[in-house]
Amino acid sequence: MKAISYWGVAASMACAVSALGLSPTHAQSADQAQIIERLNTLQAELDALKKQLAETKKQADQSKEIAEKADNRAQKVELATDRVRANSWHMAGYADVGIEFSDGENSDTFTSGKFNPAFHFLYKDLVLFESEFQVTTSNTGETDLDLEYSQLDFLLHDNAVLVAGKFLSPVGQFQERLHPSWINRLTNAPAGFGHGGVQPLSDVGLMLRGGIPVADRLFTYSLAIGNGPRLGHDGVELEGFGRDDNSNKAISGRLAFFPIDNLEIGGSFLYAKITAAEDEEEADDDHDEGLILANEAPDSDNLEDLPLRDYDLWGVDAAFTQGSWDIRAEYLNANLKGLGDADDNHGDVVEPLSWEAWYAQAAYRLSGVSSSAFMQRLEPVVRYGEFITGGDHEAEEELNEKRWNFGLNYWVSPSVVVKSAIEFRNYMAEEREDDTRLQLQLSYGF
Amino acid sequence: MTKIRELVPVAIAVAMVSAIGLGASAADTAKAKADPLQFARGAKAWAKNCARCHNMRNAQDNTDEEWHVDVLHMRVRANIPGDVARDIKAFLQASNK
Repeated sequence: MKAISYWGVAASMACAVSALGLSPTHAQSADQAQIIERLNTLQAELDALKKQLAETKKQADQSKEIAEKADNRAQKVELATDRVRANSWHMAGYADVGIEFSDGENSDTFTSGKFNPAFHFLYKDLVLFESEFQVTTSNTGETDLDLEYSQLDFLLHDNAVLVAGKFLSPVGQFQERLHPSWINRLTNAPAGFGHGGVQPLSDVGLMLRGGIPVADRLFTYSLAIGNGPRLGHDGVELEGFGRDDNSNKAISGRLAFFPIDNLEIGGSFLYAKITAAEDEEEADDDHDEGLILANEAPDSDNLEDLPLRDYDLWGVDAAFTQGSWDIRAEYLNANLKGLGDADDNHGDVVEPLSWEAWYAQAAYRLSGVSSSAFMQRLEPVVRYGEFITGGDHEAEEELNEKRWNFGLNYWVSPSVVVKSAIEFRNYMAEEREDDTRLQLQLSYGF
Repeated sequence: MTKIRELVPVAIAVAMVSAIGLGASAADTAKAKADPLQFARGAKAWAKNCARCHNMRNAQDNTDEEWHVDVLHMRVRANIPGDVARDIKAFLQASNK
């Protein structure tokens, strides 16, 4: 009985334990199912994220590819348009056409004008080659081609440039800086300037030039040594010659200073020795023949034996430019010494020659006086100048004059201008009639 | 008469200046650091220097390369100091787009 009781207790305990053990097992299975379900959910979310990431990456790659293509295109465009190569170049220049009516000895005429292309070639900020041609149609219908300048500029440093070759004369300001027709405010050069005037046009040789800041102001210099002028058909020819007819060289230059930003004051000079014409030494009666001989290339030894005549030139110039105002003035004075002693009756005497020219000019752009676009493009101009020669009666009759110019310009653009002007030439020779000319010119600087 | 031997000192002086200058010029070709004030200086110098002789051209008339050459041409013709010319060039090149 007691044993049955023990077995009963054991059975009861076993049942209880079994009952207790069965409940946790059931709960653990439910948690696992939840975990698995959650894992599955997470896996799905992860897969979705992976897919999204892949799509994003794909889009990013596509965007990057598009951006790279755009950048390449931009670089190509930039290279095509704005690339500054080691050997770079630029073409500039100007052209003009016109018409002139005259009540004097000249007939009314269209003028074919000039075509002046200029080329600039640059190597690495070290050397600049620049050259300008002038193409014109002569009075007899032939095409004239002239080399205005052809020079190599060695850019030494910020304040010095060495120029070698044929260059525009640094003397004065009109020839070097103002003579292009799209810059010149009137249709022609002042009396005594330009071809056949006092102002030298060009020279062949070397020139050192530049600008130097002095305190807050600017000082500029141009100092040249060249073959210099010669005696020719029309007296002293002040153009650059490819060969010198004597061994001495001409020295010329211009120094300028800016006391205020808008005012430039300059002084110029030229010293040279000019080989006398052969007739001057030999007292040949044929004046023209002697001049021709002097103008030939110096291929004979006797040219070195010909006497030399001192030629000296000096000048001053000033320019004031502020706002609508452009005011300029220039004066040049040149002398060619004579030969022989006037008191010596045994020798042949060649009289000295002299030239003097000056002008003053004022232009005012009407851009500030009216709201009318047409009026703002107008620019009245006035110029007065004189040209006086001495020592040669023939030249005095032909050249000496006082000249007034009144002009009205219409600026189509900053470099395209229609110029109209009336010119009063008052010749000093009594027997020569005065001349009034009406001039129209279209000029384009490019 | 000025003989060739009298020109020898001139030639030597020119050669010396050239030698010194070419070295300095070569140094100038090194890429300069960006200068934020260069544009403003260039605009002022452009207005001051160019208008001394002619009307100021539109910056868009030329490409960068053309301005690079053209400004150097004008530097020589108008005796503009090199640093001022570089300021003008930077202004024109930044204004022609």
